[in-house]
Amino acid sequence: MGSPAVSLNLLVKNPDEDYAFVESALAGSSEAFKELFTRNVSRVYSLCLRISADKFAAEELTQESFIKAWEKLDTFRFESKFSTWLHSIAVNQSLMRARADQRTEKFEETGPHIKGSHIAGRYDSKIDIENAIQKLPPQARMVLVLHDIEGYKHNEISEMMNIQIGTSKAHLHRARKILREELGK
Amino acid sequence: MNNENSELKINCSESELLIDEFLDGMISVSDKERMDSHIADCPKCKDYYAKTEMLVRSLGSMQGDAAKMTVQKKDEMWNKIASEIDIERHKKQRTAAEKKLLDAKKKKPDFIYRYRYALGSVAAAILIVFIIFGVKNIGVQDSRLSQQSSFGLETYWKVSNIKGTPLIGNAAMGSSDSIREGQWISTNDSSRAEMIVAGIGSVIIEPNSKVIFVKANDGNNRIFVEYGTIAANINSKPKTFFVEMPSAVASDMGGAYTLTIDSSGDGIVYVKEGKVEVQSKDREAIVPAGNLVMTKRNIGVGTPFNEYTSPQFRNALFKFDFGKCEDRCVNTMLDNAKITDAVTLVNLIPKVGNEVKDEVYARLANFVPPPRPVAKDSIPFINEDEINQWVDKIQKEIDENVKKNLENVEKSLSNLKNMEIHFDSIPVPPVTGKNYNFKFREFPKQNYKWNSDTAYFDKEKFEEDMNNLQENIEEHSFDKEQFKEDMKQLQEDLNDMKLELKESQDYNNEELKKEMERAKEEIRDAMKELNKELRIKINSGTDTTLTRFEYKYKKDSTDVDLEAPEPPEPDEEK
Repeated sequence: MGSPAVSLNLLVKNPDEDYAFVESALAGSSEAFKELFTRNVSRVYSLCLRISADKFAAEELTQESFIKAWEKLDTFRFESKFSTWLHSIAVNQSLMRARADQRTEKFEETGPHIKGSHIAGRYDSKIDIENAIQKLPPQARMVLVLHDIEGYKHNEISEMMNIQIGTSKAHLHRARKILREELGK
Repeated sequence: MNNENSELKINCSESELLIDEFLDGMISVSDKERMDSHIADCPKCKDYYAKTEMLVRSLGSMQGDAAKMTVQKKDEMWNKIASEIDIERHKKQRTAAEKKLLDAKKKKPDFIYRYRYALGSVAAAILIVFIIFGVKNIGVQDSRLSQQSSFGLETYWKVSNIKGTPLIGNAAMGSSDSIREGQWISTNDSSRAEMIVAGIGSVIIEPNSKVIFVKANDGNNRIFVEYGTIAANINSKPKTFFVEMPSAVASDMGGAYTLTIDSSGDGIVYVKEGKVEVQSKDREAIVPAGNLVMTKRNIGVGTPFNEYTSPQFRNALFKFDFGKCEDRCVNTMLDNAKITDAVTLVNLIPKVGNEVKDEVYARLANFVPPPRPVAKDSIPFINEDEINQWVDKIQKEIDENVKKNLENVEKSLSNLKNMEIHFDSIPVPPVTGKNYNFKFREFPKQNYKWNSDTAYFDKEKFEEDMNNLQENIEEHSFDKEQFKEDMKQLQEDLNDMKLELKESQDYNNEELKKEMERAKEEIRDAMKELNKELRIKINSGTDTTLTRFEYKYKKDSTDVDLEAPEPPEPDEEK
């Protein structure tokens, strides 16, 4: 007969594995929120690093994103993946910081907002691409990272960044063009 | 046609946008046609397409590349986050029940403080009552106290997190936590939990399960398994721990068992040790170790069956329990019954029709006689106690049999170890007839004459077989040295073959190259000849179109050596 449990089919699946932890975190469990942090921190940090093009800023943005996520957790509607929701927070935080940086730069007249690479330049195609991404204008860079690297669609990006779908497409087109030119040098 | 062509015309900027859309998989069929048409004629856009495609592919493979964070860095980051977040924030969201509990906990010191004198008097009074009347079962009370809240109103059971993050209600379970009446534990794919019922036993909650703690009073501890699997290990006195299912209730009579409920509410109970009683509305099953019982929602519990029962017996039983097949299925079961099905037969007695009741009783009594003989006219009135006793007897006999068989196996094995076989005089192994009967039951009976009490040993036949065996062994004996030599030879042969193959490949390649060169040379010669002929014709003014052809041929011939286009026949051109 073997194991009797094998004969019975259990149908208990969550659409998103993070949901259970979100529910626990909503019930006040910081342990569950820590689990959400552990599961998602790498991708959020990666996203922030590419968007900000700055290692220290990326760390701060990651922290800020998780703190914001905790504060806004009760607005999560369980309609999208938790990671998507978290990424949109990270994008928002990054946008806010970029705006603030732009204002400071204008005020200080420090020239273009393009920051130098924080990753040592090597003759490696991926590193070349990373360096080239960091030279993109902030909005175009953000759209390119979200679309071409993170795999989000234009409609999702338009929601995350609060821009029109057409604007998202235009940013992407521009970003790819600059990137190709930069890599072709 | 011209209109269609003009519709297809786009400029380079438009083409670049369409290339982006194409690479995103969002292009329409008509736009794709426009893009293709443009790219076909525009080297710049062709280059743009190739480079953009390569770039998009490279970018797509970079997801997560930059995410190189050490564990230490993650911990540091989490510590900063943890110090910033307001842990109390979401506690407002807790369920009403949890809030009530929280409030109760908060109020507790005030309550105690306010009524400290009154409580002191009550405590003194209780102490006096204890001293005067004494308390029986004080040990039982002690074990319960550890599970009760300070007021003694609610009972808590200790729970521990074995794996992953099981939930208590909506909150994540701590490594060592507690659960109270009305709360539930749920596990997902990767979590497990254990529930400790003090003085009674433990219940493991397997992945993908939901278990509700119904209530705990002395002698009436209940959980409800909504779905999933639990493994209970109960050491208390019989019928103190109950597991409710959607269609039945399992009450423990001391032992270990697993219970699984699927998404439709049907269940299966498998008893590993001891005995479990499963009851539904109008049915009952006594399930001893090594047996299973199915429960069906809206029908109730079936009849227990042995884990090794035959498929024929089991199928007939399922039809009898949950289908519309009565005496016919009972007859099928009786035809296929073995001693291991005795538990099923005893459970069937109250269920089967009077026409077949005697037959079931007789078959069962043949396997294991009843503890007390039952008169024929009393068979329909066999009660639960008698069934229980009979089940115990069956289990006892089975256990004894298993024990005896194991002992026999051990004895026979040790005898075989000590046995020295001399083919000229084969001794009969010094074991009893009974042992022999067990050990050699698997031997083909037609070759040996066995009697259950006295082992009659056909020495001649055995000797003959042994000789044959020895011959076979010698015939198939394994010469290690020879094998090594064979292998060495085989390796050498393989190496030779490899060399030959390589040589032949080299030869083939060289030969092929030479042949190609020869062929090219021949073609070149032929072309030269042809050119000569053509020039003669042109110079003689026979055909002017050939001048163009010659030019074209010369141009093409720089990259096409073997397949130069054949010139048109001069006669046809005429």
